Amino acid sequence: MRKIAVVGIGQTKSGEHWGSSLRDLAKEAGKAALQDAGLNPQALFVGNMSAGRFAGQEHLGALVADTLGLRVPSTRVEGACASGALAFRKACLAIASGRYDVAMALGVEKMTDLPTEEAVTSLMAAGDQEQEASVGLTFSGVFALIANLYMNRYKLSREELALIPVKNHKNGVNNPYAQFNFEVTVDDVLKSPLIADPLRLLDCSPISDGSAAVVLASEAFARQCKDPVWVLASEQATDALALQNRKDLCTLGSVVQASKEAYARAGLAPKDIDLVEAHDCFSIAELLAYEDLGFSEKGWGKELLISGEVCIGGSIPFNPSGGLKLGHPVGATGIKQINEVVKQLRGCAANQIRGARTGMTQNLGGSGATAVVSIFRGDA
Amino acid sequence: MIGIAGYGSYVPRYRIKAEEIARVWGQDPENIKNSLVIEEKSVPDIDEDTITMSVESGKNAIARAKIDPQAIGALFVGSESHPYVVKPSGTVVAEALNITPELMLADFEFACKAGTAAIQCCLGLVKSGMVEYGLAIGSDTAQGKPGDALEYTAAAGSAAFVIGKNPLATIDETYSYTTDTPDFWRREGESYPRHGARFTGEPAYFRHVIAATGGLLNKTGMEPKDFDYVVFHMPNGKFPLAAAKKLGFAKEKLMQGLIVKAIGNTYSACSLLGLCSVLDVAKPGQRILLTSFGSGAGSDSFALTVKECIEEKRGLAPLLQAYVEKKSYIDYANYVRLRKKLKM
Amino acid sequence: MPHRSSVPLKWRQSRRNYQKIHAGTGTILSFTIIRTAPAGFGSCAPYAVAVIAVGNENVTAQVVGPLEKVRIGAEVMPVFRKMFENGASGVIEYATKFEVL
Repeated sequence: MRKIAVVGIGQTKSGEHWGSSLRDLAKEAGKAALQDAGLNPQALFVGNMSAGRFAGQEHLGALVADTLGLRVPSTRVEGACASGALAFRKACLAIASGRYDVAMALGVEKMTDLPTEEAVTSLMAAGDQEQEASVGLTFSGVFALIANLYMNRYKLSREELALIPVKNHKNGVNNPYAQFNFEVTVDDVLKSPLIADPLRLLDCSPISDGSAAVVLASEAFARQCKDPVWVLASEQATDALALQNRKDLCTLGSVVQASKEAYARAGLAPKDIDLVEAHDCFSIAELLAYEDLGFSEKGWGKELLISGEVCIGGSIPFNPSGGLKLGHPVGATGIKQINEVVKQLRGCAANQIRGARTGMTQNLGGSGATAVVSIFRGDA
Repeated sequence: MIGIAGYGSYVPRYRIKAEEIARVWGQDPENIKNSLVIEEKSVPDIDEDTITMSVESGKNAIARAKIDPQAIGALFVGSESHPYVVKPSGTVVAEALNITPELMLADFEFACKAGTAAIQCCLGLVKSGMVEYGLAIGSDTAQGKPGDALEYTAAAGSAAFVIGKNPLATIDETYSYTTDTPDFWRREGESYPRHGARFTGEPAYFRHVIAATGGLLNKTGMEPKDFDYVVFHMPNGKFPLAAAKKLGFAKEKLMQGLIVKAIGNTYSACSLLGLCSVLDVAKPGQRILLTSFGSGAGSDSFALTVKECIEEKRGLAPLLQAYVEKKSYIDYANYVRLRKKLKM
Repeated sequence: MPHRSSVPLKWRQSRRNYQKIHAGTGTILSFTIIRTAPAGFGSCAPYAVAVIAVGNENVTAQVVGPLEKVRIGAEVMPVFRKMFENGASGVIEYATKFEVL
């Protein structure tokens, strides 16, 4: 396959952008990425989960291309919360096919125009409407089902699980794009209101507006740009939509499979990875990622947490940006993660990890019905 | 021989005590409990209604009858709390219990005697050979106006009867007494019923219960002493005791069926759940007299004889006592929330 | 949400869902208690939702009754309940839920 690099990145801050529309957000991130790249794309892929429900707007491919003044083939890609990484993967495949040399992937989500209750209902569209949403299960509820069983089976305590939001809040204090810049303690997490037992408010990512974009180029074009970051692999896997139909609630089979294929393509193993931007939509999701991405045995993920290995300064920092805990504009998230990894590998991240050479992103759709795992390497 | 081929009961789990209601309205709990002869009443959960309870009791009745539900050719649900004003409760019940599509169906209303009226209609359809089996259900999630005397007794429950051959109890005779007597009523759109206070006694309950029972005894040529059990409609614990006394039935014969003390007045299910309680213990050969009462007003009286096969069929579904004992208490605040008495 | 009050959709779903009332007992594999409910379910909150192994398959369903009784491994039986009222004028949606034995 042709060598592909990320040559331009851009994103908005995650947050409640009352004054910005979906168009405004896309324009901000898109223009920043185009400027960073200094190249114009020949194709555009837009990741977005539900502009139809939140803003009554479909046909986003055309909308974003129009907003950026790009009259190029433009397609909306949807895979719930994995929409961003799916758009990225489609852009990679478009270049790998040889048909295009420069492509752009942009993710955007505008969620705050709806009241919380309706936003919560809309998010459940990522799950199974017939089997899960129809019985009043919420998205937090789905991950709560996973957390409850995991804690019961592997003797994980509530305090141990709380270490994840504590770590991510700390990581994000200096991140200018984070929705929150304050720290929390284990006590804060345990005292926050219950959302779906055992998950509490501080276990959950927020409802956010935001956008992020990347420009990709084939090797010949990438060599003309400053600071290209190479895409070693971007693999995708699918699992049953409804949690009830999974082989085991405590393992995200799609993550296991996508990561195996990504490692194989890149010719690497977990020990070769210097940092991971993982999909911590809920605290338990990051814990599962330690295991399903191959960094720890099933049931033993908490050892990495307690020992500090997954903290900045540890052997395998997870979510140095603060992760989804500090902003989850659904369709943009997958690309926000890539933005952070690229900055780390360029040496210019807010929480720079020393000597970071190889980075990984993991983006989930729904409760793991879709997973995209990508591996990147710096140019140096 | 035609009669009850299967019977089933259902009572929701929650209970509220009479003293809890009295506490909120500043009334003397001992006074209330003594005058009404009631301890506590059943309260439906937020997701229960006449339809859901009818499915539960209907399932139990079909289990005891040991028949293919498709053999049921008629279904009537009697209630004064049907969830819809237009769209029958029975169709949902029939679909859930696999009785559709070849059947006759309509909903019944006659205050607390809609269930016994349904039994009489099933009896006629079966005896005439028009259907093989009929399913008659009496269910209610009764509402009492806050602070009114009826609030202590208005409860929720359901009783179902498969009428047909191979009965576990034959229905030997039935007699009805009906007049136009406005003792208790509810106009369309109103949340709570109204009643004529003391007018609900002699001119209503007692006149009809006594006349119907008397008529049945005449028709059958039997006397009170010939019956082993008697069940009357129970708006409270006091009225049936008084009626029994007037008619000459020994007090002990009433006790097995006097379930109002434990679960309240379940309206269209009331006398029928009393019958279920009796069927849960009665022996083959024993005779039961049942007289219902529906405000408006009328009474249906029945003479039944228990058959051999009751012993093997009884255990095929939960006894009423199991539902009575499976209970959780709630306070008045939760009661008001569950019964949607709060104006939102 | 437009589809929530879709008459044909609810009719279609109920025809399949009603049959679960005849399933045997099941076991709770995992459960949660929903406290922040989606639109329309607010009046029922908090309520328990569980993944239940019943027969040869798993189902996702609400578990009724006192919340303290809901545990991983608990044996449950199907019960027929209202799922969704659809306000004061819509078609009422019924479904099979489960209750701890």
